Formats: sequence, C-alpha cells, structure tokens
Amino acid sequence: MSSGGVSSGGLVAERITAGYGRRDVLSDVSLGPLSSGEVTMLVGPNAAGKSTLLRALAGLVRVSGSVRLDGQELVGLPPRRRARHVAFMPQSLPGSLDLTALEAVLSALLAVPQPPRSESGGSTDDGGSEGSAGSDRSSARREPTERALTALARLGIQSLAMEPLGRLSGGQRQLVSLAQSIVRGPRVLLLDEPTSALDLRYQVVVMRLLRAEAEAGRIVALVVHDLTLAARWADRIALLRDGRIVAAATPEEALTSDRLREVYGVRTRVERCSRGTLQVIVDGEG
Amino acid sequence: MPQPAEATVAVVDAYAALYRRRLALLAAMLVATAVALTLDVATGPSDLPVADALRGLLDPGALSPAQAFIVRDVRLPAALTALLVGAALSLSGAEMQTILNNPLASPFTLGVSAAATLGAALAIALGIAIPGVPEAWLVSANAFAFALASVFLLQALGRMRGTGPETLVLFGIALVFAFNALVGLIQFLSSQQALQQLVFWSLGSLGAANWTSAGVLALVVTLVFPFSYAARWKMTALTMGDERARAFGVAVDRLRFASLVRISLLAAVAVAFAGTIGFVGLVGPHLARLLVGEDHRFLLPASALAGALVLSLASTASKLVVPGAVLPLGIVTSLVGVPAFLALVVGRRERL
Repeated sequence: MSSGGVSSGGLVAERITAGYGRRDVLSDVSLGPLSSGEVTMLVGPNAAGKSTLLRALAGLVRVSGSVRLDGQELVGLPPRRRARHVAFMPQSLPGSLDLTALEAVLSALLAVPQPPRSESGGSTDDGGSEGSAGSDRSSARREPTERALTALARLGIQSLAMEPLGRLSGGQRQLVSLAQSIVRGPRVLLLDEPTSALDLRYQVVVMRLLRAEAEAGRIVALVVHDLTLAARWADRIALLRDGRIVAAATPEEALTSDRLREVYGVRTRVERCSRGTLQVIVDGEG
Repeated sequence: MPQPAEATVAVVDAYAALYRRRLALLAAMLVATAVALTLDVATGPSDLPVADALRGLLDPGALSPAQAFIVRDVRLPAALTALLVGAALSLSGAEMQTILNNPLASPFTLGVSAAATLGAALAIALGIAIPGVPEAWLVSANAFAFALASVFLLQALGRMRGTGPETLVLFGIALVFAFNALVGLIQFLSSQQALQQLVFWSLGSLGAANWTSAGVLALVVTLVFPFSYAARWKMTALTMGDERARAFGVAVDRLRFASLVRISLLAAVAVAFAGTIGFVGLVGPHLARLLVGEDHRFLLPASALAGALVLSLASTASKLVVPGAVLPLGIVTSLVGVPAFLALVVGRRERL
C-alpha cells in the first residue's frame, strides 16, 4: 500500500487551462477524482484534447489551475518530485537508437534516481554489516537491472531485453515504452495510446497489466481510440470534444448512441453481447 | 517457477557479457591512443631517429640536450595537445549531438568555431584584444572569449523562445552566418600578411602548442568530464526525446543549458589552442557510437577516446605525408578521419 494509506484523495484536476505556446487546447476543464484501483480511459475524436489533458495531468504542458494528488498540488512541482508520483508514457519511442530495450528501461529508472520507498525498499535492506560493502555495491548495480527485467517480463518481452530498439517492431517498442512507465512503480500511470500498435494478444496483455496495476492501488488513466476496448476494460470513461469533457462516467453511462453521434458524427449501436460485455458497433456516418 | 528465473539469469548473463565487452573496447581504445601518442612523439621534421626518440621518452639522459629538448619540450606537449584537443572536441560533439537530437551536430554547428575565428581574426588582423592579456596569448584568449560568448548569446536567444533543439539549431546557424560575414569583412579589410596568418590559423595547427596549452587543456577536460559523466543517464534518456526525458523527471532545459556550458568550455579551449579542427567533433562521437552504442555510460568516454585517437593519428600523419613539412592539422584530420569513418560505417552495414 502507498505510504499515506489515504485513498480518498485520488487525482483531481480542477478548472485547468492547458496548451502549447500561446494556444489553449483545454480551457476550464475539471476531471476526477480518479481513484486508486480505477482505470480511466480518455476517448474522443482527433484534436479533442485527450493527449493534452493527459499531459496536463502529467505536468508536461503549460497548465494553469490545479492538479492535486491526494491533496498535494502537482502544478508547479519540479520534474524530479513530480516524476516520483506520476509516470507518463508518450506515444512513440524513437526506433533508430542503438540502445537495448534493457538500457532503455534502465534509463527510466536511473535518469533521476528516486529515493527508495518504504513499500519496496524495506525488504532488501537487512542491516548489512560493514564488511559487506563490496557485495552491497554489486547488488546496487544488479538491483536496477533486475527491476528493469521484471518490468519487461510483466509485458512478456523479457526475451527482447538485449535487442537494440532499432531492431524492434513498432508494437514491441510500445511495450518497451510501457515497461519504462511501470518500472518505477509510481502512484499514477498516464499513458498516451499505449495499445495503438499492438496486436490483439498484446492488447489483452497490456489491459490485464493495467488492471493489475490499478488493483495494486495505482491510479491509471490512458488515451485510447478503440471504443470497444474502452467499453470492455475501463472503469470510467471521459469523453472529450473540442477541449471539453462531454461525459465522465461508467462506460455504460458515457457511451450512448446519441452521444457518440453528437461527438463523432457516426451512427452506432451500444449493446451488451451475449456474455455481458459492452460493445460499440459502428454502422456508418451521420 | 523455475523457467522465468532461468530466463532472467540468461539475460543478466548476456547483459554482463555486453557490459564487459564494452569495457574491453574502452580499454582497447585507451591502449590504441597510448600507442598513437607514442608514435606522434616519435615522428617529426627534425632528423631524430624514431628509435632514439622512443628511447628518449623512457630515458631522457640518453639523448643530447638538443634532442632531449625536442622530445620533452616540443614534441611531447604538441602530441599531448593534439590528444586533448581531440578528446575535448569529440566529447563536446557527443554532447552536442545528444542535446540537439541531431547526428550532424558538432561543436561547430552552432557557431562556436565561427565565433572563435572571429575572435582570432580581431586579434590577428586588427589587434583588438582583451586588455591585460600577454602578447603570446592574444589570439587564443580572444578565440576562447568569443567562443564562450557565442554560447551564452545562443542561450539568451533560446531562452526568449524556449530552448527546443530545433530553435537552438536555427539560431546557431544564423550565428554561423553572422560570424562568418564579420570574419569575411575583417579579411577584406586586413593586410596581406595578416590575411595569411588568419588563414593558417583557421586551418588548425599545433604550431603554438607547449606545456601551457597542454596543461590548460588537461585541466579543462579533467574538470568537465566528471560533470558530463554524471549526466550519463539523463543524456541517455534525452536521446529518446524531450518529453520522455521530462516524464522520467529530468529537468530538460537545465540539462541542456549545463551541457551547452560544458560544450562551450571544451570547444572554446580546443579551438583557442589548435584553431578550427572541425571534423573530429563530428566523427569522434560517431566512431564511438558505432563501437559501443548509445548508452552514455560508454558513449561519453568512448567519444573522448575516439577523438583523442583520431587526432593523435592525424597529428602523426601531418608530419609524415610531406617529408620535412608539417601540414595543417585540420586538413589532415579530415583526410585521415573520413576513410576511417567510411570504413566503419560500411563495415557496420554489413554486420546488421
């Protein structure tokens, strides 16, 4: 469990205005609280402001207003301290680098080393004597490697650890990118289209992983385009259009036929299939 | 579950092997650089046999006073200056390529060398110099001051509009043209003799190298490298893009500024003592990258070593190509570096 043990706060965005340069993409948007244990998916048409909202929550764009995590203000927090609580996964990982997948994940861990937290750090430190300085040092080098490998293994790609990024497919790089996000075990996971390049099997692997992360007490929010994926896996949906949140609710409440026609301009049916999962079937334009 | 554990052990072993192989490559580069340095000292226009020069390195008493002077006070400082200039330019080139996210970048992309040339031109042709600097140091001091000032000017321009890599490159290119135009103006106005001196300086030369230049270079490289190395993981993160590095918690603007300060110190001091030897700042990091990859734990030291090696070999070659004459180092560096670079790139293509 997290150190505070208070899960009532969650992640709250209040009246935020965010954008790039002088252009505002979002104005006066409020969202949340996003709570521990929940997977929230941001959906909406292109240019609706989904990615910008995610970046605003991550503190990576110019943002005014308030973004609080368990009551602590994140806006204006220095990058090092913010990264302690929040992981953000951008859309693309450059493919031309002569860097192994393992090194890529290690750099996420070591670029800004975070102080050990009580939940994971306690068990490894068993009050070593002075004589064990040498083994301490080698284990200090091994420990990040093992954490990075565990992150890769959780995504089913440990066998790719020694492959250079340049030799991985787009989908494999996306998984490495995801491993970079989960490796530090932050409280909040913000992911920009983490499944856009993945095949069906890995979509499920990733969704299961995100569920597990949420159940471990984290706050998970991601941008997706695939409404069926969102309907199937999200606890909550935030539907955006033109820089505003049109609906924020459970999939069943948020994704209605009328609303989707209004927001996307398409005719859809939203139905429960025979096994009870919600499905969005697109019939055509208009 | 035994299976995943075994797989983990296998990957950990493979990683350890890669780590050791890269350390071995660094060691090999170090040895090659030492050999190149020795060769550099052993060659020269004065008729001192190679064997005698080598013996003189180990036992100065074995040489006549004149020969000992040549080895100890002419060749050794010049060879060390070459080596350190190579290390400084190549290390700054590696940092530049990372912070600009541009494989074509070198310390000279952003006008550092153009500014140094302008400073040198002012001193050589118009006698304009920093007050209080001794006569022998006028050109070097001016080159250094202008190179350093150009980076701060660049930073100031960048600050006005956010220090993204594209903006910095554009401002840098604008500065290159501005400085080159001013140098052209000075050349147009200067005397025949000053013009000749200026051209020679800009070709790159170790003619003025001595123990002071070697000492200053050694001091700067030794002071800067630990800071550079301390930023190794941040720099590796930055190769994957600004946004990703920021998401990892890196204060990207601060990292870029600190790196530019290091780059300017390294490049300015190198240019001040050896003129504009541009190619090594571009090719050194590329050689290093081909050998050890993008992980800056290895890339940064490998870049410094590759630059040192290339410039040591170039310095040796500059004394051998035309017997009895020393060609300008900048020219020879490109002539030696290009084939070596092409060979590595082609070899690399075949391996992939």
